[in-house]
Amino acid sequence: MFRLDAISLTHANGHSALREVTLATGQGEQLAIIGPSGAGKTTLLRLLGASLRPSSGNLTLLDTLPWALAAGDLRQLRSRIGVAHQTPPLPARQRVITAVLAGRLGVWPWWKALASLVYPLDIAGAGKSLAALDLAERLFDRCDRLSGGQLQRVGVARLLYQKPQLMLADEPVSSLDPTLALQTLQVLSAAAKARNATLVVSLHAVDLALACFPRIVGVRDGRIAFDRPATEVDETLLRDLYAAEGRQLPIQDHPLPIAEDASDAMPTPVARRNHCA
Amino acid sequence: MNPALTAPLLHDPAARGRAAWVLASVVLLWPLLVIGEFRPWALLEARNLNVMGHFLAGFLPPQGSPDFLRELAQATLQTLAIATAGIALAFLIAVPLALLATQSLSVSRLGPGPGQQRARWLRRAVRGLMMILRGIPELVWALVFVRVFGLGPTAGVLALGLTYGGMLAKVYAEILESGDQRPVRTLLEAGSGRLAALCYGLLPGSAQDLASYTVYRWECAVRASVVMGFVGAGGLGQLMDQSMKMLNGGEAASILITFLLLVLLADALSSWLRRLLANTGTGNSAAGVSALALTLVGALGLAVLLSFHLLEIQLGDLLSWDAAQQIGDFFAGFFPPDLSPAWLHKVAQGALETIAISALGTLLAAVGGLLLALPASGRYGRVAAGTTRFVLNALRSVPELVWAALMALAAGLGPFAGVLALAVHTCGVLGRLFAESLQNASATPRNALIESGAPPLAAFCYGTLPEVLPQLVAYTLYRWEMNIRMAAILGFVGAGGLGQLLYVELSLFHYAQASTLIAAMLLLSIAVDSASAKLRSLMNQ
Repeated sequence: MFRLDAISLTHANGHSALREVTLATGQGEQLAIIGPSGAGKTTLLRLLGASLRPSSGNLTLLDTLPWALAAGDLRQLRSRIGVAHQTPPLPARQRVITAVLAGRLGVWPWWKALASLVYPLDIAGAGKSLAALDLAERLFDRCDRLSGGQLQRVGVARLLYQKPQLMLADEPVSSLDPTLALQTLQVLSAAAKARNATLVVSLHAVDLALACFPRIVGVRDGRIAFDRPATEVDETLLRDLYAAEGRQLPIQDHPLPIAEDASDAMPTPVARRNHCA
Repeated sequence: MNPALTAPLLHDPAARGRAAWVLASVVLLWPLLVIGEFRPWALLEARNLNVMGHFLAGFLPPQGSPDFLRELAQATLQTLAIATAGIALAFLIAVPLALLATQSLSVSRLGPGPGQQRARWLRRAVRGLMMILRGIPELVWALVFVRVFGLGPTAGVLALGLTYGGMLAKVYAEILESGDQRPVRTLLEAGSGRLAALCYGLLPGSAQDLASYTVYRWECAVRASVVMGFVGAGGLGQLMDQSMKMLNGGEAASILITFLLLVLLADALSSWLRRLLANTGTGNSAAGVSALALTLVGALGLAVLLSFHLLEIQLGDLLSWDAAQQIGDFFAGFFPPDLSPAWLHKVAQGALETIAISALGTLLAAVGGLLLALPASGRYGRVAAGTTRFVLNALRSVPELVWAALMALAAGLGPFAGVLALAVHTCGVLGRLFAESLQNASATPRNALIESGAPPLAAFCYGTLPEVLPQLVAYTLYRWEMNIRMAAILGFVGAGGLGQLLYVELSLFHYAQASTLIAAMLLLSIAVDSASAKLRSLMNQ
């Protein structure tokens, strides 16, 4: 599905965000990216979304080289990649239905896009995506009437509605309470599985990542610190990853059944049941 | 996650409201198109094309003979002098009116003391007078005064003085009342006189705003006096009127270039002065008035004296008993106004035509402005931005009345010329404002859509437009308000509406009919004022 080969990225201000990153996934695979703030998680996702161009290395997305494509082809490629943002970039005065329908703008012909501004053309479709996230009743509300957590779920609903082959989500549940966070990740995971799409999610909460994703990629200082199945991620590995953030691991206090034998040193994280299965 | 609880809504609840809006707009737009004689094809008629083609062909090269340039320089100086003298007169009118109208300077309100009723009625009367002064456009005053004092700058100066006097008085009173009211109240309560209370309690806080607004008005007066000549009140406009009547393209081109330079110059000078004013008063000198302020006031006084000298206006003659009698006789002719049903019907038609011209012109301008704002906001590169910005500036630097005169050549006499004139000028104004809004809008929603493969047009409509649309609508409504007033006078150069009727009636010395028309203009202006105030307070809720 995608392949990063010795990718480095240096921002215009000289800050080196990613160094020699190599990572690949197959079709339908699901993985979580974890790591401390500023490690390069967002940059990595933006690379995968073809919104940032790597400074060096080879990048293949959906079996094509995005930065070798002509403008029209790049646009088409991008319409097959969907992103849910941590702070969904939705105009305040836009209605939820329009914000969700905007997910298909890459596929719709221009006349359909304009007509849908006059009267929403796929109310049922947008409603279905929102219903999956428990937001069906906010369909015709304006975005500025929603809370931050609801907006995040609207962003996820747009991603679901877009039906891309590569689904990317940058901390999509950071403003949700633990129950909703888990539910939302489950919905994302199930949607990806149903269409055999690849899903990459960056998460701040380690426990959620371990609970919902079979494969975990740890990122630190712009490098891949580890990349292994969730079952092989242990406490030492995590403590190394978050060494700079103090003693506590960033976890979401969610109502997963805590493993009976979890020691007192670390309250939850390595509860490793696959709740997203 | 229990969809059974809420039955999914499968229709848009806002659709009915939207449909009603669309229907209402169509129903309203259709008569507007008919009344405004919207005939774009008139532009392509062979006769009009021929006239305009010859006229435009003459633009190159612009007339540059020494004789003409001397005439041009003289007219330019005269224009500046009219503006300066007019503002000086306006200031003289505005200060007493503003002092009378300012509530916070009322002694009788304390307590309340004796004479409160009388004072309240006086304030009301003064406010009414201010409304009449500024409600009648300066060009109408000019047209009327030309009948009394003959062709020449005197009419222009008086016209500017009256209209701008009303405007200045209103804004002065607003500025004086918006500041901190406690100092002046304390002074009045301590028994000080009104003038002393003004100087010690109100001016320290508001002098800067007052001066800055006066300078801004001077800039507007320069623009206004440029067109004053179209009704025979001297200056560049009179020269332009002559050149256009003779279809002399070369002269018209030179005059247009001078217009642009003069407007840009006034713009630059006014913003420089206002910056200077904003920075004064920070010094810590012992003198209450800084040397800079004294210099400015001196220069100002000199400029005013020079202006009156240049225009050869003998204020004494104007204030003589003979002149007063002459003026009195002339204005007596306006009363009583002609209120016969037939004439009222015609006036109502003229008013409708005026509204149609302004609405169509503003609508076209909004569409054009948005189209030009896209490149001007810099989304198609720097070259495109620079070019469109230049075009927008050129469009709005040429006054509406000059556009109307040009459009009357291009599309024939009638309301459609007025529509085009307003559209072109307002397009320049709105394009610039729209471009600023677009630049200030957050780019992330649009970028996110582009990054998920949306084409630029769709990304703009879904990502940028929802955020900026309310602002664009507010700007358009605000310009429409100004354009209704403007449409009333565009008729002076043959572009339909109330103005055309007034011009004809005054030419025929039908003063009773003319006074009905002027009253209609005043009513229209007042109605627009209060309607927009209502709308604004509704939108702010």
